[in-house]
Order: sequence, then structure tokens, then C-alpha cells
Amino acid sequence: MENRVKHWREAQGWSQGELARRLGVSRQTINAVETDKYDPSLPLALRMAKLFAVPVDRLFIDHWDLESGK
Amino acid sequence: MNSAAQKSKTGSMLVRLLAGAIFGVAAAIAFLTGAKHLFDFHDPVEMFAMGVGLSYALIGLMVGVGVVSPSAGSRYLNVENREELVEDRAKLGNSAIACVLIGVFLILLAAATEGPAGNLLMLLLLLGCAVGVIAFSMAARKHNDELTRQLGLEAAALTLWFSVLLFGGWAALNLLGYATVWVSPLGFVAGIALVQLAAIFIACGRRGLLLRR
Repeated sequence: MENRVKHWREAQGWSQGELARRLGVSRQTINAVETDKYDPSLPLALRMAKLFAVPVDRLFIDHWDLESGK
Repeated sequence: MNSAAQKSKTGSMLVRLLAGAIFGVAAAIAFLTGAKHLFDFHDPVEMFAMGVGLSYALIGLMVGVGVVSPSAGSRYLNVENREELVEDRAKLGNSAIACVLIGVFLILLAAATEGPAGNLLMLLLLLGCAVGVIAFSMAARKHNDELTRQLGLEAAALTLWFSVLLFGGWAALNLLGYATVWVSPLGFVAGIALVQLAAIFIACGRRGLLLRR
């Protein structure tokens, strides 16, 4: 799943460490999410969206197509 | 990051990995050569267990030194900077001690001699290691976040599947008469530990945690 966590984090002027501290996770978790190596849990995704004050679907982009099912 | 910087980073990572591998192999050969004379091994499985134990102990020591001295640790551990080691001190410190204790457990088991008195002392030492591994692992677990928990689950699943494949396959072949030598209890314990170590690296690699940051 594509995500724009890095974009929104940098827009706030935060480092990975700063975002990790605010969310109560490790820097490795933020790094893994930003590099698309790890999809966060729903609670963490919701907290990220709340922190950046953006809807979840602007943070995490799912390219699944309803018509084709792919 | 531009492609030149990426290439430089990848090259630097490869050099570090290569240097680490050469150092690790050299240290293991030197230790096992010395240990062979010191412990008078009767069975290659004892050396195998000693090698696996040494790998755990070395990994634990390297992380432990990095936690005690974050400035030094940030140079060879895959972290962004020394502050990251300071932030994760509780988790990494407890994990490092547990890792060293697993190594010591295997080394002691490989060096165990036959005889009731020796075995009782060894039993107490091994019990101490096992209790320590559980205690420090539980302490580290308190500081795990969701990625670490996910990695733990994936590594545990991989360990189970590899173990079933390896030891189950071996058992089937033994039953059919193709593998005449059955794995010894020491070989089984060391084999599981090696499979677990490999599974942890695979789980971390799949999440990109082995790439130099």
C-alpha cells in the first residue's frame, strides 16, 4: 500500500524520531512504514491521520479497483 | 536521495557487511580451534552447538556494547544516530543480555561432560541461563512496539515451518532408511537455535531492516 507519511511528516518539519516519539513507536517503525516495508495497524494509522489532521485515505492510498477487484 | 548517494550508501553497507562477516568467521574459527583443544570435543555436533552459541553470544555482545556506548554503537549498528540507541536502550539492553545468555546456554551444553556431579552443576548453570533468557526477554517485551511484535510473530512462524521442514523431513527420511544418522539431542537444540537466528534475519530482511539507513 502506498502512503504519504513522509510527505506529511516533512510538511510538519518533524524528523522520524520526533514522529516516533509523538506516536509512541520506534523510529524503525516509522522508517519501515515510510519505505513501504510495513503497513501500520489500524489504530496507528488512525493516530497518524489525527496527528497530521488529514483523512486516513489521504495518508494511505489503496489502488484497489472496485470494478475489476484488483 | 540521488542515485550517486544511494550507490555510495549501498557500497558502504556492503563493505560493512563483508567486514563483519570476515571478522565473524575469523573469530569463530579462532574460538572453535581453541575450544577444540580446551573442551576435547568428541562429536562434530558439539562444535556445531558451540558455533551457534558463539554466534548468539557475539551478536548479543555487539548490541550490548552499542547500548552501553551509543556513540560507538551508532557506527556499526543499523541505526540513524546515537540518540536512537539511547531511545531504545531498555529494549535493546534486555534483548542483548537474553541473546548472550542463549549463547552461553549453548556453549555450556556443548561443553557439558558426562558424570552425575558435573551434570548437576551444569544443570544449575543451564537453568540459570534459561531463567535469565525468559526474564530478560519478558523485560524487553514490555518495550516492544507493533513492528517488533510483528517481527517476533513472523520469526516464530518461520522458525516453526523451517523446523518442521528440516527435522520432520529428516525424521521421515530416517524412517524410510535414507538418513541413517538421526540428529542427537544436542544437535536438535542447536539446530532449532540456528533456525531461529536465520528466521529472525529473514523476518528483518523482509521488512527492510537490514538495509543501511
